[in-house]
Amino acid sequence: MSNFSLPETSRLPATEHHYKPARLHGLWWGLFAVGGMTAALLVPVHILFQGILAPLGLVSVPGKVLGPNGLDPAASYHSIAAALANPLVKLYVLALIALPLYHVAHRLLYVAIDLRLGLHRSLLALLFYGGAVLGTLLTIAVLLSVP
Amino acid sequence: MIDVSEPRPRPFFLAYRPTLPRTWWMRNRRYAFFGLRELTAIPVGAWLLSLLYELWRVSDGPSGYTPSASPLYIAFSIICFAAAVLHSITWLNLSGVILRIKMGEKDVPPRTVTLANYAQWVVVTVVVAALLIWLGTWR
Repeated sequence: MSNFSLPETSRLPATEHHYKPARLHGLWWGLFAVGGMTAALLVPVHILFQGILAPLGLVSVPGKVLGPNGLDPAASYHSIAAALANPLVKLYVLALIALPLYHVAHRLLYVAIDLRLGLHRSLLALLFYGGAVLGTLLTIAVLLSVP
Repeated sequence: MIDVSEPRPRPFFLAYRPTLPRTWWMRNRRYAFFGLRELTAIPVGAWLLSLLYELWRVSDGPSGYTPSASPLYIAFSIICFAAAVLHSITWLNLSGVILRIKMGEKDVPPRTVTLANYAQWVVVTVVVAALLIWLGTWR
């Protein structure tokens, strides 16, 4: 018969273990999820209309308004300025730009980890999540600077 | 005689040997597609930053604002659009497995959650497109 026995600690009921919840990890993961959903639902239509159809002269959107000969810079400016004067539009644009940044930061952090660059994980996390926080502050600054 | 006892544990300094090479994602198509899916984040982020740049130009006043519409910008947008759509499709496909919605004793089936999210994507796209066209008439 074997004398082998498990150490006392491993037989304790699960409730006796003291797990430390990874709250910070949860926060970044939550922002990744929210940002990923924001990007999935909102980004394609914005790129299609503001990045492709309006520059091609097929439709007028704020910031890209068609005139008699191609885009009309003055009308374009006035349409985007009028739209951004609305605080609801400002809030929407903040969510549209800032939330996906946390999604981008999270994905690129794990790409960097998976590529085994040799850099320490916490340094990479500081770099990417820090970048997303900076991007958020920059977006707020830009939105506040617009009349 | 064959030894059937427990294998001897490896010494602690040999217990974990990271052997994954940097080129692991080239091993098969699934890994490569996973890598591509993760990298869609770069064009999505880049396009949003280009949008932020355009909004920043608005603060210069009417004389300093020129809308981005060069062929290079359109090409950039087309690449970003492809990446964004790939992100949307892969994200919404996974959403059914990740989002667990309780319905009585059971969860809502993943297929239903995914379909509901696709429907949401269609509705949001139509609403945002309509709002963009309407806001384009503001002065």
